[in-house]
Amino acid sequence: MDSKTYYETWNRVERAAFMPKKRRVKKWLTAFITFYNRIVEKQNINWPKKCNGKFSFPMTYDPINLDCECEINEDFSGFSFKITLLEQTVSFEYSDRELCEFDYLHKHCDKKAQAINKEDLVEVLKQKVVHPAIHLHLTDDESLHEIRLGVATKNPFVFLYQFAFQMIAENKKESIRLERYGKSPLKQNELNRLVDLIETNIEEGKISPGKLLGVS
Amino acid sequence: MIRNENGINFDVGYPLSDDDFHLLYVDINKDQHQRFLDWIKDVKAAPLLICGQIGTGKTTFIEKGFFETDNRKSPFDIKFSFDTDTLFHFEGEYWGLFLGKIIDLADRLKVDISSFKLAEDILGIGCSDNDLKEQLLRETISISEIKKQKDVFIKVGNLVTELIPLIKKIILRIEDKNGRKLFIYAEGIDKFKYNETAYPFLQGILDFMADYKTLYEVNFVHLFFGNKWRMSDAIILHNAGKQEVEAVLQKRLGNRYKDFYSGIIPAIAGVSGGNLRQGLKILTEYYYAVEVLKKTADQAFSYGCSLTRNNSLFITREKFPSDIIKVVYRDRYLLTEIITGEQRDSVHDALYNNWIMITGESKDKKQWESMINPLITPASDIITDLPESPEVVLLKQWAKEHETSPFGLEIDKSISEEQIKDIKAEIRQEDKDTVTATLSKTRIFDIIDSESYGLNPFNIIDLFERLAAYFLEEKRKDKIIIAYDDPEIAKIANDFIVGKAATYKPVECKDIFLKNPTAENILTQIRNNEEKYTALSIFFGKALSGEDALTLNKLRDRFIQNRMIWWIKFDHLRSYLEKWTQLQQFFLIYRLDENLLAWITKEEVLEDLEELEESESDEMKKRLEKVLHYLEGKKNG
Repeated sequence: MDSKTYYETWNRVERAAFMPKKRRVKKWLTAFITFYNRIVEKQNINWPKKCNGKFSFPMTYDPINLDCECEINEDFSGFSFKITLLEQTVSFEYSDRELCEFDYLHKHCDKKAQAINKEDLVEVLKQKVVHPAIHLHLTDDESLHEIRLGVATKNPFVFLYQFAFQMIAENKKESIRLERYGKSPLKQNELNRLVDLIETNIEEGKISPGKLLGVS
Repeated sequence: MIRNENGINFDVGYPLSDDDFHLLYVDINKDQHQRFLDWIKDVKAAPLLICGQIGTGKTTFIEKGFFETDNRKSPFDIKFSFDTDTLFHFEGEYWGLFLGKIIDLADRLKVDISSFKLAEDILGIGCSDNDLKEQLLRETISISEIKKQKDVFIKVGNLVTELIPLIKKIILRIEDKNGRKLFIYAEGIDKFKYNETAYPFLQGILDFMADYKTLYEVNFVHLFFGNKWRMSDAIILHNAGKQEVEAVLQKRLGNRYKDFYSGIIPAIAGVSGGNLRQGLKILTEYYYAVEVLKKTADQAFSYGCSLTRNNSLFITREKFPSDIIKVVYRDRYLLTEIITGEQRDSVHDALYNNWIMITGESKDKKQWESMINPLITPASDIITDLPESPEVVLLKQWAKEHETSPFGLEIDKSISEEQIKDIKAEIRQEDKDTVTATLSKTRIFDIIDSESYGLNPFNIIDLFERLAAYFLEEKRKDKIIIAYDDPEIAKIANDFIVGKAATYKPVECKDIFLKNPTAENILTQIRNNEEKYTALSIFFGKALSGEDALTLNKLRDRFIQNRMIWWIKFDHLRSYLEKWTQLQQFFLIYRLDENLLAWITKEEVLEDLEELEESESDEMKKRLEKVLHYLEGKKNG
């Protein structure tokens, strides 16, 4: 697959699935929290709160001592993900006060793939979700090396989905283990689900968050 | 119920069913379990009582036994749920339902009973046994149908003496066909208080059932009150040991989370007193306090204990038998002669409400190992022996500060000189330090009164936080009571909560206003609407009668699958709570802070309205518009 196909395929997928309208942001985030909690097998008790034009909510994953405080501006003008792992904190932030190449790309290179080829779709999602080309490891701890957070985006919804995907862990007898995609049936299942879902629904235009995240 | 295979599975302690066993069941009563399995397999077995206090896992114990014996099927011939099959609680209803079940069984087994002409005798000429069965057993969905059914039960009641020999003959035919004794599962007797009006009406049918292989599900107190049936063999499920409770709680945390919470589990197991449901409730609230309220371990522990105590152990000063409690606290046993003696009503309340917990078998049935529920004793009692962990270090400090006031309760320090003399006399052999220690421990029993500290008002925003999961997580089956003073404000609060929930995800909620609520019309409304809506808001207008309040209490298990909010006037609720020991197990109770203006702004509601899209139903918009209108009206004076 060439980079043009990659770009145009992703452009279409992102707009259909990961760019909710302003009025649907709270619903998207609500569905996402349910989706995330299913992955980490927790109960839903935290919900996005809106204050001063910002949505905020926590994501935690106690077994690996991970904490993420999320803040997303409702007008998409910025976001902040403050991630604490093993008592070390990093912040992934975006603000539209500074320019970046995505501003140009979204304005002047808005070409979307007309037809989506399944093989291309799988490949694009693998590179966006499973192993993003530009990614961040939160620690050099060997057991957590499989967490790769794609940071080449100014779209908080893509980051969130990708974050949740990285947390998919295989349940071993006495504990859980984060495995590489090739060794992780659960990651493969989720990617297959996402591919099928997008392939089936992309013609409809926007894909509802409930459908996208399998929680409706 | 959808479960997490390796993660957290909290609820308010519903009985486990087939799908849950592999994930959540812990065999804490191995010997009794085997004894029960043997009993189920014995076709000639005599009746058996499964007996235990509220929250000790009776239903789960029984269901697990059935599950193992019959591979997910029901090994019994007839199941009679005295709590949820019934509504009127008079003899005719009990016998009528039993007769309906017998006719149904005969029909299924193709046993001919036409020669008994039951239908003609009860309903009139031209009616068939099938008509009679339908009339007796159908689930009624309107008040007029309920009345018709009640009339049939009254007719049955008038004919009980004549019907009993006929029912015996039909059972004989059924036993001949099956080649074994009739197996009856008499469920839900545990929901009856021994001193309530309905209990004597049960005795006749329960005695009748004692001639067959009947399994009775009863509370511990029923061992002492009732006719001959209660003398049957009994399996007594007393409160579990600490390690067993720890194992149960670890299962609820799943493989993923059990290590993360391992520091606090021994403390929660300790304060559970061995009561499985109590332990689970404390852990659930602890988790909420840590995850949502971001409290430290000691604060979250205190929060979990207070909320569980307020919600589950309703205590009134006048009913609380301080003298008996003091004696049990000191001696750690309870005498049968006290249970059945002059103070039996008080002891019954203390046992039925889990203020006193039975912790061990009695060899001679004269003396029962007991303890006072740790939720009403000094915090230091349970903290001292805990294994060291960061959480426990915090708890020990906390316990030191709360020696006599473990959960932030008001203490009546005006203990009289006379009382002090009495207490000193009781322990005159002890040294001075012990006297002081005992005095401080004794004081706590003089202050306990749920009304004075329980039901603290929740502001509407905190309330929404607590209720959000109710609306937004459909797999949860939360049941909530919200107490209010002003009905108009309650309606606005409901509109706000439902309307706001709809900004998160589509909500299908039905409001039901019952001007004159009765157990019958509440049940009818629930039956009519439970499949159409994901949530129900039921407003109770006038006060329920005492009988209706008791009937609702018994229907607890009927509501397990429902998601609903009951809006009840605070003054009314106070009088119900004493009767709603069972409902309080599964309902969470909050009191509304009616100063809505202090917590909701016009701007916030306008924002919420904006978030409701065109596609959203007008109903949700109307709800928020009503809130807006109310706020504007209030602001303008």
